[in-house]
Amino acid sequence: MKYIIAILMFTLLSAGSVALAADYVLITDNTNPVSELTAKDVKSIFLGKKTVWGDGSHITVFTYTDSSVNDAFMKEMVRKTSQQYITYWKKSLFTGTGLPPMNFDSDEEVKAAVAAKPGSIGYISASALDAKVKILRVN
Amino acid sequence: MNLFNGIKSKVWFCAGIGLLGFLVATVSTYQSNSRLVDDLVTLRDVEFPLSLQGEEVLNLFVKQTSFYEDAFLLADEDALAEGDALAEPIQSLFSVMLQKLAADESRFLPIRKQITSLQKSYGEYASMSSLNYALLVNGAEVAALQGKIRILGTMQQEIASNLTQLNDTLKKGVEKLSSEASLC
Repeated sequence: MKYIIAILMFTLLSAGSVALAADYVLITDNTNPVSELTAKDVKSIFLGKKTVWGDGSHITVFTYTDSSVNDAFMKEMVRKTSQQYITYWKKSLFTGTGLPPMNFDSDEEVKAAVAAKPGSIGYISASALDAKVKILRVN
Repeated sequence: MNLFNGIKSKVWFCAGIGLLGFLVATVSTYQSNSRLVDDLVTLRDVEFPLSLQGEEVLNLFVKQTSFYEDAFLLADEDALAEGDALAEPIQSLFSVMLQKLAADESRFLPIRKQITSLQKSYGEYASMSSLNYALLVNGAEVAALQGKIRILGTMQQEIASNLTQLNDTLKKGVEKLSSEASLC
């Protein structure tokens, strides 16, 4: 009986953490014709290695640091911790090879920036999603 | 009147040709030897020390950028101070290199121009980096200075690449003179 309870508790906790970790959505502006990306593309975009969309237009990246949303996004999509991501961009900046993405402090700010900038991409809490921006599905 | 009628005249003519040949050979050997001596003196006094100093400048510059990187990434005051301290020896080495080249300006004009331009761009980099990395170490926001940091990064890459190019030129000069000397 003890084992069954332990297994049940473990399963519940695991399910909870998966839901928490996945509690973000990738967004773009409503004018962007792209509606899905591969995980590899997302990683390349956020690391500054892919800088243009398929039609040649420039990709503007917005990040949302100091949040659990950011931690989950970085871990799952970019395969780095938030600190590693910051260091990555600092190194790029130091060597003159790249400019870090513009960073915001809230879902609303990221959403407003993405909505206002054609060809932009960002991530917000799933609960903050509304019609101002378009969701990008990740394959 | 024919000058070569007598056997005596013919002998003197042959002796004259021999003497002339000897003189030409002596003068040419003398010239070639003095050119070789000049080349060896240039190799010893200018090209070889210049090549070593070029290597030293590049090593110091790489070391300095590594200190600045630590200062920037870790807000490390000591690394900043160590990076700043290398600016003066680097500038001195550039000056010493230019003084060496002053002996034969026309021969080393392209290298002199290259070093003068490098010294100028390094001077700009050194003052700008010291100022901006100090601001960051003292708590300034990266976002506020990111334009300048990126410019510094680009300058840094350019200086490193130009220094490498200069060292290649200097090394090739030494190799060329050494091979010419060994051929003689």
